[in-house]
Amino acid sequence: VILAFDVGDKLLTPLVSGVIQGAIYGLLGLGLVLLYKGNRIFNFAQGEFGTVAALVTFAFASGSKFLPKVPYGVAIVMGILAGVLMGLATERLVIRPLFRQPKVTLVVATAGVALFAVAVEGFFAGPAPTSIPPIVEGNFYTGGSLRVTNQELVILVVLALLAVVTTLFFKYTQTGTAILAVSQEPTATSLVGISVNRISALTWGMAGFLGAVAGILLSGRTGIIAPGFLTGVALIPAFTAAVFGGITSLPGAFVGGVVIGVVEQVVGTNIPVDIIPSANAVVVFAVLLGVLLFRPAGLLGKEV
Amino acid sequence: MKDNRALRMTVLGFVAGAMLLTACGLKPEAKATLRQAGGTRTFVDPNTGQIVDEQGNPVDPNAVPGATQAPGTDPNQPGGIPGQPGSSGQPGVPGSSGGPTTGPTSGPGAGNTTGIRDGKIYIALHGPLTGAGVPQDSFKTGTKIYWTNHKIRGMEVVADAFDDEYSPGGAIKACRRAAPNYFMIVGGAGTDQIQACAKDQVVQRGGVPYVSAGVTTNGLTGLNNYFAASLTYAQQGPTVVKMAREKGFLNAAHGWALVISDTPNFADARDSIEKALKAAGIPYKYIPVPKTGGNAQTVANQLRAGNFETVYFLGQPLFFTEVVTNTGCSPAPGYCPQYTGVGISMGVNTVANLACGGSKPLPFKGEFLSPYPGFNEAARYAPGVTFKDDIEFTIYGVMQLLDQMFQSVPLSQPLTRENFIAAVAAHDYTAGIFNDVRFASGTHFGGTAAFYLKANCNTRQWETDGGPTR
Repeated sequence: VILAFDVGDKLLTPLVSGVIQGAIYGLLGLGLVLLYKGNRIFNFAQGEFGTVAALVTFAFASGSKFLPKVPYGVAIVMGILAGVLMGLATERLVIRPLFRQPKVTLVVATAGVALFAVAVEGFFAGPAPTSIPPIVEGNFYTGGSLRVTNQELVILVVLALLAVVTTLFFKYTQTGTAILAVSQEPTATSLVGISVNRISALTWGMAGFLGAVAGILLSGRTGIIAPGFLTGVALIPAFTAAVFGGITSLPGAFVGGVVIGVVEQVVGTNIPVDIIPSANAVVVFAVLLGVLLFRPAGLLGKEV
Repeated sequence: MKDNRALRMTVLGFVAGAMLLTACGLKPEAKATLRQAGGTRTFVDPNTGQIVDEQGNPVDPNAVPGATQAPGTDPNQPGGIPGQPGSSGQPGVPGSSGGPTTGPTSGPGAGNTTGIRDGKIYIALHGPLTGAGVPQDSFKTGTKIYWTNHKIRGMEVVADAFDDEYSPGGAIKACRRAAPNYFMIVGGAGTDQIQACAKDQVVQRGGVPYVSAGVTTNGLTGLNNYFAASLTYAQQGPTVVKMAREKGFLNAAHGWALVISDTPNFADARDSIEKALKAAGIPYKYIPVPKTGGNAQTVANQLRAGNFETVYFLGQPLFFTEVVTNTGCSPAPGYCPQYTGVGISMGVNTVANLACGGSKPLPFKGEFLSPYPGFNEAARYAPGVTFKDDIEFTIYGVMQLLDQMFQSVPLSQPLTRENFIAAVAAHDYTAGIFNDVRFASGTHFGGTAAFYLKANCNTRQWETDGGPTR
């Protein structure tokens, strides 16, 4: 007996699932946009900021190896701290020495950071995946094919909050303006007394923070974390989200993430695997190519 | 503007590369073919033992990746391993002549004694030592625990583990490194990897004995060197239904969901479970998923939409745990499906641990078939032996079986690959940790029975819940 799916199962459920999944992409995308605004580069290590944070959270929550077992909330703080530190370390040890090099050099360097991070993660955590609990247990809503967990609700709220806060930060604070100034004209910015190094470190620290939040929330949702996990699962959709939204637009990353998540879920649900294998992955690439070819400024971005 | 153009080019290049990788990932067979096409294809000449190209011309073994690998050291280190430049051949073993690093040692008519030298027999295992979710060290240590106390014809047995990276291409690479130096190869896990290695031309031309747990019959039927030491997935279809009936999760108002990786290698398994369910009058829906895993959320949505009480899963273990987590398990009248299927990958405790969730135990309901009992029964099946985990335990079981296979070669005959294959094909073997295996009737798929393994989320382990049965 073939059980028929109704419109709710074909559209409503993937729509809601897509918004939640897209929120994760948006969170990672926010970090990508932030660094693009600040340094004019794509950061291939953004996913690993999140993976490191999630692994550290797990390590402290479970008290693995020599680490003390701490309450989950404290472990999350430690995880976020690890993400921020990784961002700062990347800036100090890799980006700053290469700051005057062509941008493509910096992009490749971030790819190197990602690969190095995966190796280090594997060394300390082992290559096997481990399970990680959600921040909040339980379901917010269940009905038919649709299930929204409390964790997923947290993801949506956190993304919306961070999108608003970062937008306001760039629009209304002097530091936000300084970050933009450094990205556009570092020499002139330093001449007016703004420390380029300090601004650069701040930008990478913030990117580490955003990546860490994304990593902890995503791994808590999937229940699994392993070396290289976020890069493998979410980096390409996050790139797509950032480009789709307009690579210089923070709200654009939010919107782009949600759109990519929804498209991915709706297509994945409605195109059978035997017609197009991994249709949800293919559509992400198709959207990215389409945006780059036909609207390179993205949805909310501006040609600069 | 300039920056934007550079950015666009960077992203386009990245996307093109990623699409290529994705496409190859979807078709691993194609990836292996591409890899072969990219370089010189080489083979081990079964008569001379030399590495030759397609025209039969000798090829410098140092030019063949991994061909200079000498056994007994870490086989996963790139390049050759110093310290054993050319095996010396084992005195007293007919036909054993060593040879410059490549290892094949047969003389005309004497049989192939590759992998036997210096009073040792070298065997190779390939499996996912990285990234696929099984404890890696246990793969290596499980073999050592057994062979420390056992010998074959007075010879020490050295088993080296090769990382196949959980991909057919990786398996081919691993097996081509092993074939010229090791007596035989054992497939650890992964249907595509086992198939790719067992039928690989280098393995075939070298007549390398190959033993694995039963997986598919696709591409493996008719191979003289291949032996399945447990029931294939197709053979287990009716047993899954039998288990479901006995354990009370067969009859389902909303039917079963068959979540199966969309690969030709699982076609026989799918046919088998579909026939068994039809015969039992149970409705089902086939939900294919990409071999590489796909989107767990999409599958979870489909499971909840169909309200399927029982989910038969055959695919990537890590993807399975993602589906379980995304589907969730709500108390009645909420949705909480029973998961079932065939071994071997799902039956490892790493999978149970992940499926059971991160903090407090989840009500994950899983019961799968397995060629070996649960780790909770290790003391019963291997008394006096201490194992650190279930992988060590099962690898120990594989070694038990290999020991019996070696013993079945008559002492009046030299221990050659040919004599080993002939002996195994003519014998039945009694149960150790693995169930009885019977090849004497003429089949190379000798599995006879399976255990029921039920997930216990309090201990985060699979525990024996029945069997062995068929």
